[in-house]
Amino acid sequence: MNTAHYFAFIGTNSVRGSKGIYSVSIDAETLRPTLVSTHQAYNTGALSIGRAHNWLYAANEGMTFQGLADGGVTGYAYDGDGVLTKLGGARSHGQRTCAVALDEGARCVYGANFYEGTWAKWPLDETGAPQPASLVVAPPEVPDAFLKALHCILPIGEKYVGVISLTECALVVYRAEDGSRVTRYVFPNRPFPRYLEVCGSCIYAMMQDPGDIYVFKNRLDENGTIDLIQTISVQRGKMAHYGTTTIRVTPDHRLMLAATREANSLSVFRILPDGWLELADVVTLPGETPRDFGISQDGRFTVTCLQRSNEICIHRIDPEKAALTDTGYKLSIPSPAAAAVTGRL
Amino acid sequence: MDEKLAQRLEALEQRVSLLEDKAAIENLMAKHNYYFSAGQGRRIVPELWTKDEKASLEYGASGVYGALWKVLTFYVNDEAPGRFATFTAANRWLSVAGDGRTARGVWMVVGTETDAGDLSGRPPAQDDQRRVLLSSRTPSGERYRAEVLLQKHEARFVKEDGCWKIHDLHIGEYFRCPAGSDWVACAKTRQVTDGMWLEYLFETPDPLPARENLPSGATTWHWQYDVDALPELQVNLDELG
Repeated sequence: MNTAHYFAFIGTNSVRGSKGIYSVSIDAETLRPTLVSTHQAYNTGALSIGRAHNWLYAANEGMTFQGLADGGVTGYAYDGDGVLTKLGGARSHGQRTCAVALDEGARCVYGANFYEGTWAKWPLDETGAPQPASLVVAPPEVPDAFLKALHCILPIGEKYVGVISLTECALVVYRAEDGSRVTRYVFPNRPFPRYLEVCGSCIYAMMQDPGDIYVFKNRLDENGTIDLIQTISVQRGKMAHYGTTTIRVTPDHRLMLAATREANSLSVFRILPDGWLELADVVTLPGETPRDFGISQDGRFTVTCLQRSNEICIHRIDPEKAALTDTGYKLSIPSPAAAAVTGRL
Repeated sequence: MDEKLAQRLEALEQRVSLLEDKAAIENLMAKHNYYFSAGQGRRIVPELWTKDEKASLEYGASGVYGALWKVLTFYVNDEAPGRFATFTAANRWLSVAGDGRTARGVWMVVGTETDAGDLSGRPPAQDDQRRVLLSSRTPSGERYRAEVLLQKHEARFVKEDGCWKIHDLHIGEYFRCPAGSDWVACAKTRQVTDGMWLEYLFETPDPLPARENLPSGATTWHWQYDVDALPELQVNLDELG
């Protein structure tokens, strides 16, 4: 590729003619997307991309992995044309691996399993290939749990890992080194928790229904606790169902975006100096069912997966006005479910 | 009546009842397999399954589909011309509980699955995901599916209003391969399409009561032939007797 561009990698559900993971080049000036290649993959439910290497990690959100009743993680390297080369994969010890997160130092990858409620840690070798799990952590037995499942995982700094547990209806924090439990916060009134984000000294836990975000002060190093400081909705009005899917913070830590399926919207929050959120805008998307979105590593734009519309759309991010502007560009991709975007290349 | 004779009569009645139960369950499963093989999937749940909404069906590594409406999605599929699936059961191993109200059985099943694909009058589109599952091709490149499979069907039964009904069915699949090939050569190839094929099994043209037809829980047991795998015993012998 000669002109400046970004790559967006789009993971898809294996339906409606999907060809796996789609590599999309996005022109650095116009933000116009162009499909450049596809790579066969089964049910990519989540993607994670690093900054230091050209590595991409996919959560294999299926019921099988290499002939086992299992999920898995697969690592890829992308070249200058956006073509993916498989580095390797490893089983996840639980089915439907629904979340994957590369740690800051690109030394390991974490994954959460929707079924079984387990999470795993895979060391990476020098090429970025995931090695067999060095840690598999099972949930506690909860007799009245309606589902034994996890929904999200994310490293909290280098020492901790946070998971969104449906088994416990809680945000649970573990030690990254040995998987021992540190603390948890049980969400009141049994919401359906889904996603997790970390920014500065705060941890943000998002509910799928109702679409609330819980903001916690991270005091793990001080006294092993997380303190709830705010709860805020992703919508201005109350909805019967939200189906909120994802929250992500812009790289400059000024904004948080939240996608809500039932409203077909992206909400824009200002992140205040103390970590509190202030809802600035709710943008209606040009399609249905925003399952995930990815923010470019320079924070210029976001790429949203419109799962039911079978397309992605692109919005410019204005950090000053806390606003999104639709570029008008869309690209057809069957059942897009996960997005990861590079920086400018 | 002589007490000894009465006891003997009671014992004989129990034995007859047990044999009748076993015959009825065998007939139930024979009907199940015949309906399945004769394109009568829509009749299977209303006629042969329990009315209990907590019924379940598990297929290979599919996870447990734990609701009656989810079970129905396995049997009611798109009726494309040239598609055809069969179950032929053998080697029945059946145990009826002492109270005569529940039972459990295991069958070995040989099956076939057919999709005429490009050879049918309604071939799948070039970008149809179903093409990944068309594992055979003609010399001129037309793709289709003609697979043979070996399975274990493990079922739990309940007696409802005097009739035996299926309450839970777990289909374990040992291998599948295209006719004309073999399961050793196909073991690795199969792994690429396992997941897509499992999702496809539960696709139905009927409207669903929920947005997604996902499993209710993880797979309870799965074993499939692989070149490095050893067979596993996964039946509770004490329960079966």
